[in-house]
Amino acid sequence: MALNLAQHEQRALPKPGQLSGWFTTPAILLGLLFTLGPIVVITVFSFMSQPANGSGVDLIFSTKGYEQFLFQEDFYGNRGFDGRYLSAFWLSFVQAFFTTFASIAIAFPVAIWMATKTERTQNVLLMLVTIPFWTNLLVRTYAWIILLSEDGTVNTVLGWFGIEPQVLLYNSYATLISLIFSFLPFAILPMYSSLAGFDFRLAEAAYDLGARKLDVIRKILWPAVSGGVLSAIALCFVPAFGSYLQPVLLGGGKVLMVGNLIADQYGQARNWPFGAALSVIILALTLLGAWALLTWAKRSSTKVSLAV
Amino acid sequence: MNRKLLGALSFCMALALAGCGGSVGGEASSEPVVADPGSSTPFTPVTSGKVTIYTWADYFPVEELERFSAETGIDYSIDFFDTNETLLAKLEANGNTGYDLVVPSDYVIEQMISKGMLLPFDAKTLPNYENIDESTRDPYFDPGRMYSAPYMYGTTGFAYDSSLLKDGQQGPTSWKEFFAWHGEPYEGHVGMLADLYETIVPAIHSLGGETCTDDPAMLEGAQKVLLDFKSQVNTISSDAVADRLATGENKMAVIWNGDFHRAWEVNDKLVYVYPTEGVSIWQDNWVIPSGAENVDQAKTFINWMLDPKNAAEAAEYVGFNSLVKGTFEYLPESMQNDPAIVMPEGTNVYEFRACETDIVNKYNRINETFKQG
Repeated sequence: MALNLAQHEQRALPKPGQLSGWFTTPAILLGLLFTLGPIVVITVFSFMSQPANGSGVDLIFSTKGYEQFLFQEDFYGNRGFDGRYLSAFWLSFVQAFFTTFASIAIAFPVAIWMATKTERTQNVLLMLVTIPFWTNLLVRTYAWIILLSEDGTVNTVLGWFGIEPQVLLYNSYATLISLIFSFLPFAILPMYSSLAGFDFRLAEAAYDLGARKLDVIRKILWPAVSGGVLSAIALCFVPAFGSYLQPVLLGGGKVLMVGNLIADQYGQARNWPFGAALSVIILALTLLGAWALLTWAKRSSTKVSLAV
Repeated sequence: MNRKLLGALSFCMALALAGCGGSVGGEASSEPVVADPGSSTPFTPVTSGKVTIYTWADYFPVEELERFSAETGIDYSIDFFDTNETLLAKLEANGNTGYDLVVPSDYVIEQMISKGMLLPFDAKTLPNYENIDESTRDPYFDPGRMYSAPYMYGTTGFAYDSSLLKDGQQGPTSWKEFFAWHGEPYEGHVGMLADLYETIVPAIHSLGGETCTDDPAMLEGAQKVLLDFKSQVNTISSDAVADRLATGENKMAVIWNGDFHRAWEVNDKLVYVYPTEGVSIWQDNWVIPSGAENVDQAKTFINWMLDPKNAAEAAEYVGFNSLVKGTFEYLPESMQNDPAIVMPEGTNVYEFRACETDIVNKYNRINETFKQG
């Protein structure tokens, strides 16, 4: 976008008070530095070797970071296929899938409901959706601990009805609940914005012409909202896949997932090249997914935006 | 791309940049910066200026810093880290500058000395040197105390809630019994620390092995011990350890003695166990980075902290014991009488040590398998 603008302005004669497009160069360079810079650094690190002592990397070329992903030596030094990291990826995939699915399922009626309100109400509702962003994710995640712990709010309320305290915390359900809670706004916002300009008289017209409720949803509402759904998938799935806080705090940190696997490589495991290689693998998978999504969207001429 | 991913990437870059300093700087600084021990200057107490402290989160009472400021006239600022690795990365990225006082653990000091990251200020030149407990005047990580002075020490044992035991049931007394525990009343409520060493090393010790070992049979055995134990575990986490034990979210847990003491103040039926095979003992120390700007202020501070009264105030706050002689009498009675704080005579201990990368990789492999199990 910025690049196009720059080219365009170069061709046009600068009007008084306007600067030449070249003046955008520092901003573009800075932008590139902060987007591509980190990717270059982790890619380079992923091809370095692990130092004999301490953390960091040695500047010696090595592909061990990538080999480790699939092949490892056992304690006796026998090299062989090792599926542990693949199953960590699979677990994270499943978790991201359920998070995304549930978020979209909840966001769908919410977005429609929001879009049918008066403009004034819509603005208020939009603000309400963004309220969670006013506090830090860590604080919001800790709040779930207070709610779900054995002497927490939920169990206290259950106690009033004579129900024994339940173990609600430190399992994958607790993780999933807080993930859905965290990512729901990312599903509601794009779906709402794709519906915001929608003329609901079309739905009424369909009713009047005898369409069943399901048909109205499928043939009238869905085409309008599908672009928003794809954006929601992109916005929820990728961060949920690499989520770190929720599995560690609410899941009890006892399951090996992509997020804590990478974090550990930079901490106690002291294996930065492997941590970098894992990040590069995820980046490649993400780009592949985004490419597939965009290709599909182009073919079906659905409007998708991969950003809020 | 979306914001979350970008956020994650910029986080990666922060780490990566820190690493650049680590790798490149690490090599460069390995030779020249190791100042010769003679460079330490005699102690000159100062009454002005400023000292910048970098320590563990929630590991120093701010009120005491205020008092230090009032008594000495030295201004302070304080900053916090969460792991030794964070501390190392940040210092290396800044060329060992930015802080005048840092509080790393024992095994990290060994690494920092070998990388030339520390200033040899020679604790023996401090007037209060005599207050340092004799047992730690010549520690393995800093022979002769050229680079460091002790702050707190502690042990990592385990604890259980004895009120839950049925009549005649005995709580575990060793790592072997700890890991063999299956069933009520602790099943599904055992807490482990999110720490490679404090997880793998106890498992190895339960089999009679060494702290750092690459014996395949031993490693395989430790992995099996942990995997068999996994069904009992509900958390692998290093924060809020005391809270979970106090509230009963964990009914048995691997725990630091200071955290145990805090939990015990809530539930006095908790028992801290020094496992018969040995308990891991560690020590945090004041050191001065080689690039420190306010060296005399830093030394004044260290000397001030070697005063038993001042050491006791910090010890009471963090719940750990100090290695400054005479601190004991200033401690509150609840700490004096807690065997978790005052280690009984003849307790079997092993020092917390970093193993070689090759062994760390193997331990890490066990740890990952444990989490996956």
